[in-house]
Amino acid sequence: MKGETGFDPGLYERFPTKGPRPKGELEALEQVWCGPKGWQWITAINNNFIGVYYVGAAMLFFVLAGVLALLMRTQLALPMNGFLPQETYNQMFTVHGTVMMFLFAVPAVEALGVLLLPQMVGARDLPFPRLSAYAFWAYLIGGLAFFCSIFFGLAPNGGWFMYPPLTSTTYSPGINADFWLLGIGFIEISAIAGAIEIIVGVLRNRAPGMTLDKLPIFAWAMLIFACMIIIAFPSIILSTLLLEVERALGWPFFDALKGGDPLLWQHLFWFFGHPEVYIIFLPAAGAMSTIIPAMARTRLVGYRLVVLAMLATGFISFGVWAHHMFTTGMPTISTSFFSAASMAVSLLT
Amino acid sequence: MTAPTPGTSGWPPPALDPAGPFAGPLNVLAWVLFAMAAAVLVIVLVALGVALFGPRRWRARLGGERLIWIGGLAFPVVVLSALLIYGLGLTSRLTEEPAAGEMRVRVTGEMWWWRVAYLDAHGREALQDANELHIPVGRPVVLELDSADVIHSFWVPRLSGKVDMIPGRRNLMRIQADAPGVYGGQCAEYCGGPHALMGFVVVAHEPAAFEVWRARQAAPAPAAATSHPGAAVFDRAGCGACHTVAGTAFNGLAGPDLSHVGSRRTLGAGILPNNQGTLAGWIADSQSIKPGNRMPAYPVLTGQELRDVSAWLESLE
Repeated sequence: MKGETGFDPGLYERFPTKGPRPKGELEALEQVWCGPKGWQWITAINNNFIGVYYVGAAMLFFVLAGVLALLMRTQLALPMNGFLPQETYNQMFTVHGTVMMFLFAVPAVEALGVLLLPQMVGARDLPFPRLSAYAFWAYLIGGLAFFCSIFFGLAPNGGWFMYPPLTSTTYSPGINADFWLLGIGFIEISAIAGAIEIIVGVLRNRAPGMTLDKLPIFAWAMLIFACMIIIAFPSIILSTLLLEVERALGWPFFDALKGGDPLLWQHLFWFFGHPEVYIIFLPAAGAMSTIIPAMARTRLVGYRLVVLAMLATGFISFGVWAHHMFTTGMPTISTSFFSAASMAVSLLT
Repeated sequence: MTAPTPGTSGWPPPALDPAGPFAGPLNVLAWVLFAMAAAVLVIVLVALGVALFGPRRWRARLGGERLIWIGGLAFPVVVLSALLIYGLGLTSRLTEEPAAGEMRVRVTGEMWWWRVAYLDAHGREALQDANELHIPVGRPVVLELDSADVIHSFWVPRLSGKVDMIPGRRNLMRIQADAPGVYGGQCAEYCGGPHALMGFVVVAHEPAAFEVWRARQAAPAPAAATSHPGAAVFDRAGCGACHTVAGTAFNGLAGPDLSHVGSRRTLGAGILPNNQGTLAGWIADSQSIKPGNRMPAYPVLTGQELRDVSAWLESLE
């Protein structure tokens, strides 16, 4: 008698097995499950290893961006300090913001998911281990290449929000901004790949009997996180694409002189940028909701309410992006609506 | 180098010291929100203390779903709704449509200075100035905010909130000062290069003094001024290609209007006190004072030429 997934519950009857173990079984198991040796660590794909690399790389970028912050604070310690040249300072704060948001915050929580999720839902690995290995290596190499641009004075200098027309070819003629647009575009594609993996992992690879209402709260948070990435990140990919097409081919999307509108960028950017806040926040909240009950040796109070609140937060967070644009002269009715939505999202948070 | 922006009410411009009806409500709202947040923080900390150290019976009460419904939903719904209604009511006056008869000034953000044009009753540009905005006290002044290049943001914290200057759009804002004085301002949207050195001042006059100021600004340079040896240096160095001096042949439009530069309080967009010494230093090497600004340095001018041209400019009041 097979279940709908093809799993035969009758197999449970065989466990625990009795009788002698086959010869060489232990050695074979140890060989299959042992960690990578020597150069094998480059080709490792199991989530236990990729997850650790992934968390480590995110921490590396955290430290690198932190060093930039220290240099900037040194410059700012005295008025008109001459510690950093103006152009270097502008590049540093752009790279600092970009690295913290795109190369630390999102990858760090995604890495935590890669590391912990399979074990939490009772799977041996994520559904597409090679995809997660690929996402990690693409992220590490791409991120380091992006960061190194600062050593050559070629780092982007338009701020981490990259508002055109400051970042259009007229005012940023060098290749600095192109580094940002192409680099971030590809990093976001890698993040979407990771998100698909997490969704499939949570929805399809759970242990038998683990229904959604028994899912660990962290897995719920990661599921919502991954769905939000899939909705929000295409917006930033689209905006980087449009700006790159404008820069490379002269198509006017953001250039007011040719009929474009700089505010289009701000809408696209913040439609990604505000959900991004909750994309970072929800996994952390999920981790806390897992750690605290475990440490306090109690059950999580109001499991269903917490899940509901996280779902609603994820949903409403897509309706508040324009509160980053209150100074752009939007009509009062728009600002009032976005004020109310911003308060509604804090309610559920 | 000196600390920036002399002659203003402190640097950076104080954000929590409103001096007009368009800044006051924002300050009140900020403090109300801060006080509410502080109160909620205290409640949460007390609850945390009870959860950690309180008697068993209290802890059991904290660990129930009823508390989530009350503390997590009902309480925030009530508090946030009240705050939203209060906040929208408090700030509704700030966004009223400007009336027809109000004084209008067009301020255009440029990399990295401010072009100022006072409009007459027909909306024509009647007076040109730069980096300094003069207003009469006690009545609102409507600002038409434009941009000539990238996005800037106009911010005089003591007189109003900030409003962006966006290419291809024209935003309106109103400011009003209740008392005469000098109010510092700063570009509040990163605009590349020396964005941090893009300041300005708003000078509020009593109505009578404002009319005196306006009459003096409207007058062109006195005829005697053009025979000054500094005017010849100005001509030879090609300054007139970018700068206008009303009443002379110098009519460039790329840089700030210098017709009355001697009467301005600051130099280099709000960053230096304006006197003959700083003027000469700015002309000789503005690039080391404000790196990347659009005015080339003039190391070719001799000391005597610098003294002449700065003395002449300083005399244009």
